[in-house]
Amino acid sequence: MSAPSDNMPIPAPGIHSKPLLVRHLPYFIGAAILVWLAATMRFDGYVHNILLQATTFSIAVFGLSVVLGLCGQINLAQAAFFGLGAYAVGIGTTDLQVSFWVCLVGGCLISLLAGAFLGMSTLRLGGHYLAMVTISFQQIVTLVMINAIWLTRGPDGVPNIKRPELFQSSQSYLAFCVAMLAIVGYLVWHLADTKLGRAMRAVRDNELAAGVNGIDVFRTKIYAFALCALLGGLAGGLFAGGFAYVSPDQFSFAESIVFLTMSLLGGVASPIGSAIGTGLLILIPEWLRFLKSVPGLYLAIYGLFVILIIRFMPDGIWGFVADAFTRWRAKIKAPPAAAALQLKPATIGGDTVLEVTGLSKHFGGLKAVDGVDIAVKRGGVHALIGPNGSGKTTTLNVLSGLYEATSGRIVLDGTDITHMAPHQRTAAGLGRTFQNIRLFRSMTALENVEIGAERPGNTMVGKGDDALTERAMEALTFVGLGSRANELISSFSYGHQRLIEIARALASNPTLLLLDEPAAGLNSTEKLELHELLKRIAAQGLTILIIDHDMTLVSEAAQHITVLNFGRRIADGESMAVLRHPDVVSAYLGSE
Amino acid sequence: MPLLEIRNLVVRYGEIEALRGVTCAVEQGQVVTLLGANGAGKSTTLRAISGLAKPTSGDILFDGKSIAGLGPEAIVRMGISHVPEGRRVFPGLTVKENIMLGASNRRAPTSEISREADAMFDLFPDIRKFTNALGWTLSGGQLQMVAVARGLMAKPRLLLLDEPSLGLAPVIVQAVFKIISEIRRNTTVLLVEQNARMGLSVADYGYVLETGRIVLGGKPDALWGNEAIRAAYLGGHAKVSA
Amino acid sequence: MDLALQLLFTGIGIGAVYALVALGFVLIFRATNVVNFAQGEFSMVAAYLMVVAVEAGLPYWAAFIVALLGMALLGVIFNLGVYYPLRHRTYLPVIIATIGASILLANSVLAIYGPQPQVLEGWFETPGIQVGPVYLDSQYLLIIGVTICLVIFNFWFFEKTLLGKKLQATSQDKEMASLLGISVSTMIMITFIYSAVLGGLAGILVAPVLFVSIQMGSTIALKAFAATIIGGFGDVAGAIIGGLSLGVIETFGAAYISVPYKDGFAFLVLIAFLIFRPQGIFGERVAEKA
Repeated sequence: MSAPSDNMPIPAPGIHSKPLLVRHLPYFIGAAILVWLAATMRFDGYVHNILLQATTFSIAVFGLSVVLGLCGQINLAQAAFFGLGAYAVGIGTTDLQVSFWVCLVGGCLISLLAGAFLGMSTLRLGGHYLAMVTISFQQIVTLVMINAIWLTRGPDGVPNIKRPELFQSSQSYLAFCVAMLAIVGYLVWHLADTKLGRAMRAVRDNELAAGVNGIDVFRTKIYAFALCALLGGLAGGLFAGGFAYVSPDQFSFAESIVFLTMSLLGGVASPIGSAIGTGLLILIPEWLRFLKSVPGLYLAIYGLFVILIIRFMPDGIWGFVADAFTRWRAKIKAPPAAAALQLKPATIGGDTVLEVTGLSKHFGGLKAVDGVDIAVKRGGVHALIGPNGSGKTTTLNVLSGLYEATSGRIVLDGTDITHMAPHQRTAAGLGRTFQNIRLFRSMTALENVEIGAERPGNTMVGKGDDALTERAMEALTFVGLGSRANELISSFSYGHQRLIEIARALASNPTLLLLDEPAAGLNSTEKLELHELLKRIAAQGLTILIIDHDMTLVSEAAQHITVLNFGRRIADGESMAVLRHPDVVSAYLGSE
Repeated sequence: MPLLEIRNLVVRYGEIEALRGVTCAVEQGQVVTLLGANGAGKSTTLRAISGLAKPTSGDILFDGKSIAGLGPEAIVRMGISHVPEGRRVFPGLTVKENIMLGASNRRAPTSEISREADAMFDLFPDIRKFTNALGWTLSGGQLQMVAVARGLMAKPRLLLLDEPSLGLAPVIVQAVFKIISEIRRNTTVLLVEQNARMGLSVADYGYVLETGRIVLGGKPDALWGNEAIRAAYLGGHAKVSA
Repeated sequence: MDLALQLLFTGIGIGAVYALVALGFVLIFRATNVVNFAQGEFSMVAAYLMVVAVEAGLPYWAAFIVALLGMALLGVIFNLGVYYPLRHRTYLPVIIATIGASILLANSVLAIYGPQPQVLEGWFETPGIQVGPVYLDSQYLLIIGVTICLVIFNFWFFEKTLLGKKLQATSQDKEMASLLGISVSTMIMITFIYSAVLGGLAGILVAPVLFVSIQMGSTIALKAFAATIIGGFGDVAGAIIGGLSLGVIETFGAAYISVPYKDGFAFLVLIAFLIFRPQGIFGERVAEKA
């Protein structure tokens, strides 16, 4: 398990190697020009207000691009977090007479904690439930703002909010906000390529696969929520300082929807998209100001647009543009050459890598797995077979922690893993693939394998991003796909996707590799290649436990076979003897 | 003219080519069994016939008319009833209700459907006492009986049965196959079966599928003697007679 | 004690409204696996339709029928415009689309009718009757009466008719339902119509008690959603029990604790349930794996 400090949401400047900063120099130059423009150009009050609103709102929408774009979790309370930050600055600088900076940081912390608390509800809830929790939170915050008059002054709001000494003039304050926007934008942009960012994307793409690749799914979601809330709070604090007045109606559920729409319109996955969406949705209403003479008409059109965007532009404006841009560029950077992959499976326990005793899994009255014993010897290939519905995949899911065992004990290389969560089992040295391939579909092959290599406790990978990439490249080259490392998953054939999934597991240098029907859906050439690959893996001393229906593959690759039928073990031993066992023959061909 | 004729059928699921050109036929009044290992494409063949899977190319003729590409609702109305793998008995409905819904493909008054459902219990006496039990409370064998009974309520001219023996104890498997041999008196059956011995015991004709292709077809006796069957199930390389 | 009885009556009355809307939520959820965040707006739109029809001079009963027919039509449009095009996507786009629809409906009504809350007369001339210590408001009596009738109708429809069974089958396994010849798209259409009419009925019934306003939809929807969570999501009986208990909790909370935070109790109860018992009072009734 990695220490929390490794997972800090925002990478401190300077951690990145120099070339990265140099490469991003244009960004900083551009940002500096924008800040300079904001500080020197003469705007009238109206334009200034619009710019200030767009800047602060963009920061709040960046929060959504973290939680929704990167991590795939819904948050319908961003206006509440925005409001927490705004009220912290509002009440703090007026009634409490505290410095602006203390209030800003305080507001961020309050939002962060509230966000982490909401994130905690994701432990047991997803989807609709989560949407509802965030709406409820939003409503409670609004109710408190309106009714706790002693604290918030109620519906009248808080006037005369102060700015910091340093940025008293509205011009300099705007420049300050633009600078904050540029910094936050940079961090959010790069978050995607940090360990935490990769974990979030993995959780979004495939939660199950994220778990079995060593990612603590629950913790990742909490970080995403906390970070989103933090950015909301920061944006709110800046907003309050800028407009000097806050009231409850600025932070209502409707505003949360506005934030969400900004994010969706621009493209939820990227900060640039967020900024575009925010800018448009602040400008359009200004252009359509004449519509405001009819109350509701503008928002009605707004609602219609939400439906239309969802239906016709699922990736938002930026997604649409970026897609075309990628196709226009069409050239994918060639990956670096890689050394040969080293597999050094840990050898702590004795001769037996995996010892399963009396394992049972019952679903209600159905005994899917019933008192099964399996002992996998170190080195070589062990197969687990049985007719359809015999309990093989259930066994594998109990082994990797996707199901909790009803009873029995699982010991991996001397460690009892029976009650561990999937990511803890991975840290303990378990690697697996899935029958229906579970790759992170929005990422490249290399990124997928990097997530595998990032497994906590992987001794085969050095410190830093370069070592990670190197390890991932070695694994991809090992399965023969090194030259296509930077391509998206969707451009690979089904058979190659299987190989990437195996590479992802290999990169983590597991002690035991579980393969769930690796030959399913492969044609005969691909099956031969798979067989060769298994031999090369086994040659490096990694133990494989394989489930498959392809008896040719199983009988040739495995030295040892365990056979299940009706959730019980009916045979176990050396391959050829097991396949001739009368019970096995009748289980497969049917009894007389 | 065969009741069902499949010509060069190809079905893809995204990248996977599940069927790579299957050609076979089912004559009126026969029981035809499709054999093959897991993943060979047996279930996909049935899914393509009943409209759950869209054929990529090739044709499916029922009674001489092409049904390839039609939706499942239209196909069951033409008289093809599919009892899918895993029984798929509605867990929140009772046994009787499940069976009654089998007649959804034809217009008949509810009272008549109810009478027909009651009559079904004569063919399946083992589930009569569960008439009002909810689907999820039943055991595998009972669920299989309900699923077949529900399939027969459509009064099909062709019944597609997918792995009726799956996960059932041998005694129950025999009971299920006893019913299949009774059904065949007035219904044509296309049976998919992993249990080769059982599958061929009731069949007039059999086909062996391997990785999306028919590799063998013939009378049960001829098939049973062929090494390809053993190879398809237990591995080893057999000579493939295309 | 007298006050408590009076509050109980009012609580059940208002809870019955939540229960009706909650029922609409549950039915759509079971059929499509989608939470319809615009369910509350169905109530709001129906209340406005009723106001318009009454003002146009229609007799009360005719206005009632016109409003419900309008809701049936809205159910059709909603299904075709919002749910159907997105039916193969994940839940997230669908949630957001229903939220968009909710904004569209609420603000279209606002644009057409203006922000001024409207008043709808109750069905009865007599305002209510005194029974012992409790004053029974006639409109609340009507709400409770209609809810009881609807619960009975709902039970009959889903348990005793073949169409009800087909709807249930569709919500349990769409692919199997289509294999049997049940038209899945028709079943989903019927569900949307029925849910829109239920939501509309709730709106029309509650309109004389509250004001008819643009906000009434979102308020009712949130309460009804809380009710479904409390009762156990996807459970018809749970939605009704959840709605009634929420109405009672809220009424008592407002009377004994704090009026301004009246709406807050619903959310607190909701969050407590979500965190400590997300499966609701009734829990999961179907086994983990059937």
